[in-house]
Amino acid sequence: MIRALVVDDEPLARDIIRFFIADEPDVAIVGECGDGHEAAAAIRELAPSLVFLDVQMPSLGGLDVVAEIGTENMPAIIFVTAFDEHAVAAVAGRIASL
Amino acid sequence: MLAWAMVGVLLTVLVSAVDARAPGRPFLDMLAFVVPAWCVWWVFGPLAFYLGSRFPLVGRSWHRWLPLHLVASVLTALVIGVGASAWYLVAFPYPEQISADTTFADVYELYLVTGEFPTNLFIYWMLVVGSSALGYYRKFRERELRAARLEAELGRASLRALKMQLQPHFLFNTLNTVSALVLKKESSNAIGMLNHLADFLRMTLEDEGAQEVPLRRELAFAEKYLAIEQGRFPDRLELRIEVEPEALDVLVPNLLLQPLVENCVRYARPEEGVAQLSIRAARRHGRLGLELADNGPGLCHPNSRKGLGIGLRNVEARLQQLYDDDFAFVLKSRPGAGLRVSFELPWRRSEEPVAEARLLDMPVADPQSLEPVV
Repeated sequence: MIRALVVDDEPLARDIIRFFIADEPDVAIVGECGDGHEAAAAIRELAPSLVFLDVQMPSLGGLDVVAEIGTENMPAIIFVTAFDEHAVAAVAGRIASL
Repeated sequence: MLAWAMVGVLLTVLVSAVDARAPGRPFLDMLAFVVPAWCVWWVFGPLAFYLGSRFPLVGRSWHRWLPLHLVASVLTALVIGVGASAWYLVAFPYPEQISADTTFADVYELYLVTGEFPTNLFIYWMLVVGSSALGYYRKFRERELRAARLEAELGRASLRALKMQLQPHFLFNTLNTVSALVLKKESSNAIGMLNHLADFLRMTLEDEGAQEVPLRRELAFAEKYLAIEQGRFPDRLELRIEVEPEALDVLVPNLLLQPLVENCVRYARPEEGVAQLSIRAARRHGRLGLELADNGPGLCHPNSRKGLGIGLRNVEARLQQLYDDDFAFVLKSRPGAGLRVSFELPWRRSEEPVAEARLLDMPVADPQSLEPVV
């Protein structure tokens, strides 16, 4: 069973993910977070195996969360973003420098 | 200065050459007498030129300064006449030909009637007309240059705005939100958001070429954008608009508010609680006072406001292009108490009725409550 955490500042975006996960028998959503700080705390507390992580969030963004937790301690990440190539480049750059 | 000196010398030489050709008189003697007399225009020339550019005889109200110049021309010629007459009595090469009882008054009378009085009048008027024309031409060129620059700037701003709005971020996020609403079977909300988006895009296209739009248009645009954002983050944003009814028709630069509103929405969320954005406008001292204020982290927080610097520079540049120095633009950032952007713009109202954009209830602002732009 994959334990998943959904992180997105937009409630409706979290709804979409939850909606689609509902059809997956092997995935269970163990928590939802509305901002980066909550997400960091939840990752430490709940130790999910998968995180759906929004990149663009005010205050602490997705990449900042990864920086805070540390790549070695992060579960598998699915970045949720409309940024396309920008996000890929950003992630590559950030992870390389972590 | 140098140019004028050269022109002055040239003119003096030419005029003197003509003037010194008195029948029966040696040319050089007369020249020596005449040249110093004409040098008086080295003083009055710049004066006449200055008067011509300061009080030009151009444009629709060209006759406005006519009386001034009439008086000035006569005075100038009279004064020059005094000097010329004195010079004549003192320096005429053939003093023996002046009868003993010729008085200053006689000479002066001669000057007025048959002498250079009309000539000096003529010279004055030539200088005034010349400098008026020169000034007019220069202003015309300046205006052309400014118009060209404004076109270029607007072109760039339009492109930027289009890029901003068509940014995948905003569009895709909004469409995703609509998907979510459909999935949750909240059809009316979904349709509402699609309507907002359609209106938003339509307004973008309608105002494409305009340098300035009425304030109500800018506000409607911001409201559309915020309506969409509020659909996505229901408890995150609060918008308050307080605008005097007569301020709604005042012209402001197209897309003035949008970048600021967007930045506020993205970053102006206090750690806990609701982001509040207020837009207020009122007539202040005969000008338009416009203010955006939010309760976000202001500018002190290191991460607080990406992209604001560039946005603000653009705003400043556009204001400069449109209004020269006739505007004020002030940023006030209060740590922990948010950001306030204040404008003071010329009060120019739009004369045409603009396509009505539905607006929310607009309470009338209390003009006293708008803090003065420092």
